[in-house]
Amino acid sequence: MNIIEKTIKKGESIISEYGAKKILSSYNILVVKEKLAKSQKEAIMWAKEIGYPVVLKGFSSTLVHKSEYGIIKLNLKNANEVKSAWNEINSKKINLEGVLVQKQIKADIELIVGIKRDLTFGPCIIFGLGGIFTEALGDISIRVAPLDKIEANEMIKEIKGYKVLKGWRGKKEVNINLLSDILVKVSKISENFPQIQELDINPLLVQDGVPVVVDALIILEKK
Amino acid sequence: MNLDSLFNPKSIALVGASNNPFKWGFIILGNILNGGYQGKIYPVNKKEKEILNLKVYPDIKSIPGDIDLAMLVIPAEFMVPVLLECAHKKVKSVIVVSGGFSEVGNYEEERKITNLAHRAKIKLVGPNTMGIYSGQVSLCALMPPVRPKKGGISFVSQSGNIGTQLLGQGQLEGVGFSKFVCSGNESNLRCEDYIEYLGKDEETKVILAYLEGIRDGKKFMRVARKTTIKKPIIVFKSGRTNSGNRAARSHSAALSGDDKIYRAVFKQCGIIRAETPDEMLNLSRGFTHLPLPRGNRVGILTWGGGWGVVAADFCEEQGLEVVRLPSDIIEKLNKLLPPYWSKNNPIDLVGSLDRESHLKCFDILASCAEVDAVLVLGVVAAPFRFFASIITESQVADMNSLRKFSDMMIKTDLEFMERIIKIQEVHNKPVICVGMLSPDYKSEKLVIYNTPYTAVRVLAKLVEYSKYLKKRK
Repeated sequence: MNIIEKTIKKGESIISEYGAKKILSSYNILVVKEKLAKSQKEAIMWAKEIGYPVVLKGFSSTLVHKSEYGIIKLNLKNANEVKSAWNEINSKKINLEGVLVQKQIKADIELIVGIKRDLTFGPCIIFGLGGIFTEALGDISIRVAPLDKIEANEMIKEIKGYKVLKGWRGKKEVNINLLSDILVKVSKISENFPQIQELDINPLLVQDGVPVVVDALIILEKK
Repeated sequence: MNLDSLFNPKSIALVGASNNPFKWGFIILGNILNGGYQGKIYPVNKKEKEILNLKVYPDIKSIPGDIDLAMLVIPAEFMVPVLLECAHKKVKSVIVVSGGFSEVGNYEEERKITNLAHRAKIKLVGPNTMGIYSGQVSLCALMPPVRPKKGGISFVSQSGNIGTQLLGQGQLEGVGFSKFVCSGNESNLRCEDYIEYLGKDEETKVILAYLEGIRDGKKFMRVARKTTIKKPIIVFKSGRTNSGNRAARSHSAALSGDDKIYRAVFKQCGIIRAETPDEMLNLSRGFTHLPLPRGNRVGILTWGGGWGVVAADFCEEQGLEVVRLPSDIIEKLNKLLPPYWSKNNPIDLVGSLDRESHLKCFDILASCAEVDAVLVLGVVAAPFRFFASIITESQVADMNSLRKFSDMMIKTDLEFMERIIKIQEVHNKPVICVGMLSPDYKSEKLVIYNTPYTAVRVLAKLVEYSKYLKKRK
């Protein structure tokens, strides 16, 4: 994959969300509709094309912890709001390559999917409920790649919070078939690219039962 | 992976043999002789002429004929020249008993013997190993004086300590082993190599392993997957916690990864995990003698109500279904049991002493199509053993007439067990008994454990393995 080769040539090891999502998308994994805007005019144009409400995110290929810098603006409902969001983001003293304009997802459930390369067993696929469920409770399931559909379905059912996926408090249940497809494809990615040390899809948001990658990060092995 | 020269050697050389009874070079030789090994034994020592009535040779090259297996019990610094001799003599397998290699930080010396053995195509066990056992040829090439009974379990251990404990405990419980190897530092042969060989070995029915760390994860998984569809692999993995991990690293210089990943690896390969060292033997015994259940539905037959409640709890916690008995089965049991019986599963025999009715109830439960496995609590081995021991120890009446009575009770008990075994064979379902094990109970065909918890754990693991095999098909 060109993005990976380019990154390695540059001597870098991080592929931030725009590039990471392009790689996932090339494997037919559903990613959030988004475009990279280089100017305020473009931002408004893309917002109109994508459809309101939108999210604006300051983008830099090497920036990892975006939320700490105040460069994410949610729930922008019209061109004026996009304008002010653009200005605010660019007023921060951060070197940005542009601003991502994304479709705002109304999420029922937040999930995480990842790859972690183990020294002994090679790439491992991780799945879990996102947010505090992962951070505080560690409710995740792991499998060693390669992963087939049957194993993927099993690892989804294994998490303690599985009931949440089946739909609760009136929310629609997650399409488990689409979810296990994503896990199988992520497993394929881990096999095809031994240079990938870590892949974090966080969050994988579910809207009307359909999982969509909203943010992703790839860390390559350092030479 | 052919390890026949290791487990089926026709000749063994012991380098470092000694006349000093406090040295391993004497003790190991004694164990080999006492174990009944019938092949050629060549003790090697530069100074001695005879040890334990055997002719001693000054070195490997002076031994006439081929040597299949050499066991080296000499200091680490003399290992290389002796290995060179072995290579020259075309010795096929070598067990390096001695420590003083990577486990004490001496990586250089270990690298030397690894490379040497590799180039000479010698199968090297260890270094830093307590030895091997092979039932086929009655070979107890071991440091500890354990003499395992022959059987179908083959055990690979990354620890000599655990290996000794388990073999010793197995001896007490009458558990039979086919082969044992303490893999030591695994400089050449690794746990996955032994597992690969044991998977193909016809004498091995169950593979048991104690692991602290795995070096080649991908190979391990490949070998394990190929093996578990043929026979069960039971693993106790330590180094689960940070403290355990630190200990493992200093013990055998092994690398231990995150336990969640090991758990995933075992699940994906169909490996059965023993959660405690006790479970290693309990599971091995169960898996050797019990047929696999077709499902997770359990029928419980209990002599007293309490154990029934306890077992029912454990079953549900372990994912087994304490199935509701169909009405026709309840009808049949109504005719055999007093009107106040539980009318459900667990079937409570309410302390009845009617042995014929016990057998009939067991037969009815085992033949029920909705029951995949049967737990028999306290009906076998327990009650009459209590009475027999009370009679034997009694101060009250005339001993002889009472002793006749207790002998008759034990005889009845053994006959009862034989009849249970026959019924079990007809239905081909796993039947696990809970009762008091006793030395005069000889048949392995009836599996008995001391507590309901153990019995339920073994059954739950049989169900897990059965599910895995179905998935693989």
